Amino acid sequence: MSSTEQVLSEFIDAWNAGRRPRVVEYLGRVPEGPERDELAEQIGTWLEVAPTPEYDPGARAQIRAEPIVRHVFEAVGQDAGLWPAVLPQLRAGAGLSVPQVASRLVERFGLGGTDEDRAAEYLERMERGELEPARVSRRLLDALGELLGASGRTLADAGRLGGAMRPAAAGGTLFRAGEDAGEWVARDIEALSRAAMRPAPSEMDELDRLFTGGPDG
Amino acid sequence: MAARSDSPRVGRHDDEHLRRFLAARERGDAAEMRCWWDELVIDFFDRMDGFVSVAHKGRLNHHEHELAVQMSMARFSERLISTYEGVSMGELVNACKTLARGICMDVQRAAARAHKRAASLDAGWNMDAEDRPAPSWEADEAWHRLDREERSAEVRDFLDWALPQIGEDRRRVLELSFEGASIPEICEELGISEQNAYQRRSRAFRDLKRLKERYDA
Repeated sequence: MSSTEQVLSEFIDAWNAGRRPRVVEYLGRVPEGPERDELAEQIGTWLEVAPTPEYDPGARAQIRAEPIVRHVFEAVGQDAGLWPAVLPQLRAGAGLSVPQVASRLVERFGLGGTDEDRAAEYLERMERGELEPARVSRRLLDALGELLGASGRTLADAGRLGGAMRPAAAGGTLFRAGEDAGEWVARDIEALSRAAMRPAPSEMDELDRLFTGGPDG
Repeated sequence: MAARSDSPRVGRHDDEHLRRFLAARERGDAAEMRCWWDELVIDFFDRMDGFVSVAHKGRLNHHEHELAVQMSMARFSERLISTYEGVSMGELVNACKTLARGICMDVQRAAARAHKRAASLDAGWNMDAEDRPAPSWEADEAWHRLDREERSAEVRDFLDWALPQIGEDRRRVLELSFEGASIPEICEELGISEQNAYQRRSRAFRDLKRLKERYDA
């Protein structure tokens, strides 16, 4: 074991040299207890004020290839951000299966036992990135976060990650009517009138609102 | 002062990345935003990893640590894109530290709960209040809070205030450290032994931490 003072200095030198020292490894060089706590505080102070080293292209490429960074970059292109990467991990870390999470959520919101299967289905869709994060309610994210060990806000950010940088969906395209416009307009009107005569879809129940009713659902 | 051929310049390139990112965000230029956001994520990854390690002081296992870093990076990245209102790297570093600390606490609590759950399969939803994730939806506005309250915590302002209050011997070691000097270079510059340099650096950080606490208060 080295002295705390020496380890701190070695960390700072490695940081400044762009050698990407890992704090956890340096902490492991001193005995657990007050010494390690003090070293952690001192390294924390350094990290608060230290300039970012000017990494060379090799080091930047190395950071870019870190699994966490790769996931974050890839999540920008995904509709559900980091949910597919993070939710199953959180659940596994909490030692819960999907049905167990569903059962606790149903209990938490005072829903009927018959909702458990549907809740489990929704949860599986969330984990697969098939639910739109913007439509999942805050209440649900808070409750899920409490079960899995993350704040609702953290879960929301993980799902929305990078949404603002995705290319915008193509806007509506306007066509000017060519020949025989009357015929296709009539067809459209007919289709619309058929749709209008159909019975309205069933109302969302509490479970639907939690998973797809929007932030305030 | 001794030449530091093996040390990369400890520069303010990250300031430039942030400035360009914010300018692109202001213009709504998604492609340009993405480009500079990528660079900022790379700039911040090691620091975030470090803040997470400092927060749990080596008490999370590898998997839990990685999960905490991943969620911290997700929140950091998404907040940066969508709501970050600050303008300086100092503010961003502070935000980074606060996020890492909060998420680490959540992951640690979840790990402890999973442990308890493994011991008692009946343990369920009704966790103790202190077991719940720290930040509620409404209260977890660390990012905005930082925007408002921690503007004054700009690193350079802090150092301008703090450094003159530190004794000459220790202050010189700190200044050289911020310039990227390694221990052998500090020894050469100040004509002191390696052991003395370790000691001065460590004590200087103790002083700096105490001053930071006063400054933040």
